[in-house]
Amino acid sequence: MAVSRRDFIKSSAAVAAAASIDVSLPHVAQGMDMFDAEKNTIRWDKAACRFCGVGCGIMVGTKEGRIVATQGDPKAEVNKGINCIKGYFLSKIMYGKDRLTTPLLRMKNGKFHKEGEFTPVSWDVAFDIMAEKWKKTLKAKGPEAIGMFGSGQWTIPEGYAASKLMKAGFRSNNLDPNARHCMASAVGGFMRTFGSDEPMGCYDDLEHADAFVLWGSNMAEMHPILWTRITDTRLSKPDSEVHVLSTYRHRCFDLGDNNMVFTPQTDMIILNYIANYIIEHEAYDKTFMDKHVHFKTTITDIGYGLRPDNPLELQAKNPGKGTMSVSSLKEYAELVKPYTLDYAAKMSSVPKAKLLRLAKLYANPNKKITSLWTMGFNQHTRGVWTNSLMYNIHLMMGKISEPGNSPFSLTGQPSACGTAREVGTFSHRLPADLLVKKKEHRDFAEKVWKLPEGTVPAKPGYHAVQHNRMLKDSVINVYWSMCNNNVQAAANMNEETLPGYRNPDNFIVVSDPYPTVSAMAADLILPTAMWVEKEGAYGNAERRTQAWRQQVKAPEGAKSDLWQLMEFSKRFKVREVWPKELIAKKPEYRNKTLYDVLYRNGHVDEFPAQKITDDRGNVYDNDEMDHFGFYVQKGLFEEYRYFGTHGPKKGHNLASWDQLHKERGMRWPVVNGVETKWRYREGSDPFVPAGSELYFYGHKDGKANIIFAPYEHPPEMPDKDFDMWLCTGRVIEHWHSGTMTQRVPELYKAMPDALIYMHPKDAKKRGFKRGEVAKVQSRRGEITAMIETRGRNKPPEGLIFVPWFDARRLINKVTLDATDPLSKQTDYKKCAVRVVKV
Amino acid sequence: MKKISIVALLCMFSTMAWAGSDAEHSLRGDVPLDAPSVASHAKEWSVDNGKINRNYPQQPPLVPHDIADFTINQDGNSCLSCHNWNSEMPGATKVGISHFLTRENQALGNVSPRRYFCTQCHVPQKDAKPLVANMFRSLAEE
Repeated sequence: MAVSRRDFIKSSAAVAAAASIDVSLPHVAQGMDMFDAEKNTIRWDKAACRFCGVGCGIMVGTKEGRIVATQGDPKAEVNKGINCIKGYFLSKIMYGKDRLTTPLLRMKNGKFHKEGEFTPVSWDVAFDIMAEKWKKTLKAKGPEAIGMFGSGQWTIPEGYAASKLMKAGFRSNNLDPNARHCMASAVGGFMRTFGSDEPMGCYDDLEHADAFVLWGSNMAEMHPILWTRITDTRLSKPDSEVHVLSTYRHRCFDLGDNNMVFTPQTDMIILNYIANYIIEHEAYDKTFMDKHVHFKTTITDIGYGLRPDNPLELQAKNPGKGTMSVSSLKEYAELVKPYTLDYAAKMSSVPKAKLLRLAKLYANPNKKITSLWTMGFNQHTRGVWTNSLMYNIHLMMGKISEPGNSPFSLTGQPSACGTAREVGTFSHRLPADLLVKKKEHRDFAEKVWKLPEGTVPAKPGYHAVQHNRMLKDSVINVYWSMCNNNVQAAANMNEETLPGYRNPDNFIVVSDPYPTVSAMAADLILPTAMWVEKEGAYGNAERRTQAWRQQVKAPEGAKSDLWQLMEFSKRFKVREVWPKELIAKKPEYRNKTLYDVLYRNGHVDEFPAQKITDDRGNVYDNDEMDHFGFYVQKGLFEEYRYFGTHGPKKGHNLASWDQLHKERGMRWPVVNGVETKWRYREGSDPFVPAGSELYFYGHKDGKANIIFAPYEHPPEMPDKDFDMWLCTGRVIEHWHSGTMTQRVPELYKAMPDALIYMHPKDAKKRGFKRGEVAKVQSRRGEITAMIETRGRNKPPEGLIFVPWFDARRLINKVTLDATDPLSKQTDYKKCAVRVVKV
Repeated sequence: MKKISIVALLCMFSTMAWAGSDAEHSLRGDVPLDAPSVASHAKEWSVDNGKINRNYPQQPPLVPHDIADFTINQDGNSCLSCHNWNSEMPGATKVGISHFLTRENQALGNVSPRRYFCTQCHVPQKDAKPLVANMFRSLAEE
């Protein structure tokens, strides 16, 4: 390897430094007491990582009730002993000095006051005021004025308990998770194309593929451990290749064989161009398509999910519509015909040779291809369409559901799949792909939950973005946010979120381990136990469910989300919440509490308190079990699991709670204790009928849809006033809004500030030097940050990248709250800004 | 090109500072949520003569020098020039033995390709004062 002169000078300095260390450090002999069993023994137990959707296995080292170390679990198939830098510092995330240990209520003169100061109160006082506000709201306006914002970082039992409390207890579907911001378009794409959510493939594809194509996914930073697997394959497998598409250059380009920087939104054009190329060269697998595919065309001009009075919504012909018409290969061929190489190159700014190489790769029947994407496709005002455009290509070539051939939608959060999507904590969903609007599905849920017919409302609730609008408009008046930091996350903070939270008509509760930006905007803050301070389970991006035991106790005063939800439910009698007609169907419930009917229903409390041990004889706490007197997490999980094993949608079978504690996670569907690697494929997926080879059973006839959708412009593009694109995202060192990682000194110091990543020419044009503080302005707000022209992200001219982890410069004041009109997911990757002198 | 014209209405219901009491601050410190960004200033990469102490033996070593000019790509890896097992650079921490294992635990003759991108686990440190103290107790302190 080349060593430059500069390197040489550096190394000479290092030699000098090392030499001086050698002479100055005395050799201290270590005594034999280092082998003292008591001193040297750490209890190691498995857990899932707290951070991203990869779902790495972690070994948690505990000593005297504190975590003293964490490391990658060598037995975990996902990561085989490796972690990313965040994962290696999990040991420190719970020990930030400002952990919250008491509820804090805004008070003036000893009473709650919207403009008061945060004042410590007891849990009793906290729940008293909450219950008072909830009951007052229910009485005045009914359940539709209640809202809850949940999380893809909730454990599965927590998400399930919340879903029951909101949808069946309070009878409000205004429950939505932060996963709306990250995975809703992926769900939309899966449902439209396959009729069933979540990937057909699994991480094993990363060793089987010949080529990887990244579409809007900076895996090197955001899915680092999957990136180690791709790197492993690329560098050790002859003729393998990596193609990277992005709107700016990032770390994945360092491994790329075909790197493409495209103009924002033109990914749609490139995808349709590839489809066109495959058809024009008759490269498609006709037999596969005849057997397994329908053609559809989607309705167009569907708006941007903005408020209905926004001019863009008024101009749209079919705002929010997702209707699909029946089509054919012939018609599809005509529709993609305008997407020529010339057109794609012109619109995307990607050189023709690179696009052609990409199209040829997909069209090559002998290359096994894994396509990967995350927020680039999902945070996109045409995200649902774009997800399907990707599936179109894999379906035409028959490159799907087999080792290495895999269109792979990667997940952002550790349990966006396990909790948000599978439990169905969205405003329109119920567990295991069921929908609130379907009578058959509500009936099933009510039967499992032993609740009267009609308990679960049929109308979908408000989605995440709508929550903030409805808070601002005083439509929702009481609101509970758990396990997320939406005031820092939700787009257009100045115009929507903050006015909603501070609206005097509203009472806002935020549960969090730390004083976040959201907590500061609340009226009541509830101190919360986190990660392995409670027993739980997460579900990762490859359908793997992973459980862990409680490793340590939360700080005195902090309680888990599960404890909070269940304790709060004790404050409500059924007669205070449900209408007479509903109670008449189950009069014995009238004087029971929501806690009794939801959690003491014979299922959830089925498993008595027990001693939690591992196979080495170690004993673990379970604080919720101690408090409620039964094995809460197991009872909730087993009741929930019934939706997958007996519900109307097949193929959602999960492993049992006991089995999950023994395994390094299992990929559903799990039947007879055996996991599924490739869904829909005979021999791998037990739900595929014998002899059918492949069967997309999410749809009744077993066929998937190839759905044509055209390119449509994004809602806001650079113009003379706001002349640059803004793209936001994460960095490897920080998780989301930085609540945990900014409190770990090593991670903070590795990336202390959010920077404005900018092309040197753009900086020069505006008179900025590297490191100078500049102002980023949009039509909605502004931040200041330092300019970086030589960082890890290298945008093309006309685009800047700003990460969102930094509470001290809230980039969501700048971002636009336009969404995909079908999935309601915000596009955080595109809006128009200008960068000016401070 | 479609254009949108949203009037930037700052429709605040109250002008009070939402920073909370003196006791409770977010990472913004006492800067209210609706106030401009907290001031930022450039920070240098810390250059230590020695190594940065680990918190526990399983922690990947931090990088005690600037790596801004280093490259790790398909052409080569400048970190390994000094840190690979066969490098003759005195004082440079050698890559751990774990780095020579494949996913299947087979030992290789050189660094495993899955360990190629060093910065996924090893990061340098800026000369920055932590925003909040961390009460984690290292095994080394016991």
